[in-house]
Amino acid sequence: MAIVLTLYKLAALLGAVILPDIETALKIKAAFESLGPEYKANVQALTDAAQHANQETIDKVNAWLTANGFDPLPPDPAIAK
Amino acid sequence: MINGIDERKLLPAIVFCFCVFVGGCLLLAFGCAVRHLPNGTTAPATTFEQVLAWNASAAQANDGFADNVIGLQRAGFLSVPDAKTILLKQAAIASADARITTRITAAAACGAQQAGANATPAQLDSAAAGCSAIFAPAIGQDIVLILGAISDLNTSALLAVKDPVKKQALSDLLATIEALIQKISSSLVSVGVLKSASLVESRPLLFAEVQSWQ
Repeated sequence: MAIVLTLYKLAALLGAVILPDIETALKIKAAFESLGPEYKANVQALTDAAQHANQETIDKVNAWLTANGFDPLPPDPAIAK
Repeated sequence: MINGIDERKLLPAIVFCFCVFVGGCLLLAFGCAVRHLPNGTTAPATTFEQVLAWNASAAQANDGFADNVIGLQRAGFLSVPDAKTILLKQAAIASADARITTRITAAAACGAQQAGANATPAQLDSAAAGCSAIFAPAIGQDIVLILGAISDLNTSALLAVKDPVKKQALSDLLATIEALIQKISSSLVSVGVLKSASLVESRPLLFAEVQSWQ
């Protein structure tokens, strides 16, 4: 327990805003463990996971840009919706 | 208080340590894609499944990176102009990765159609590699674009993060993304989609290397 608390205090002292993103790590794990026997289903699931994450990144950057008075990013015509 | 330990801090402390431990273990395990068969055994994934799994991981890590940058800016560790510079790079990486995803997926689907329902993993890889020939230059360009953006972040944009611990943490996350992209590149070279790794193996500098020059 003492070691646990020491690590916690150390992290608090360092202002541990940045942890390894646990949600990201769990998603990564899910992407690998969900590979079933079906090739097409695996390809689609992994594609969906990547496209969802990429769209989420672009959406949150756009939201941040707009909230801070900047223009949003122009849409990328090469990205299939 | 129990033995000098504040009970109110105990649960968050345990949760924190558990999250760091599990997060570290999972990030270390990002390289092993396997196919779970109906009889309970496993088989190796095809190259294109593996590439797509690394690709999904890179996209998710990039998404997590953007979360951290926005959080740092809101907490006052980054100025708005500096955060903007970094976030525009993150968006460029996301767009490039989305294009790579679309092209690899199209090649994998085309390969499955050409190889037929009873194809072996090697036959699927071969067919998908043939299908992706038309996309190869664009995939190569986007891989170079992503590695270049990571290099830019490490050599300039991240220098705006004044706290060395947070800067190093961001640099480590970038190294994870970079490693995943390098694995994608190497795999695509191994199945003959990319002709040479020379364009994409110019490893971007890590923050620690830049720091050692200053």
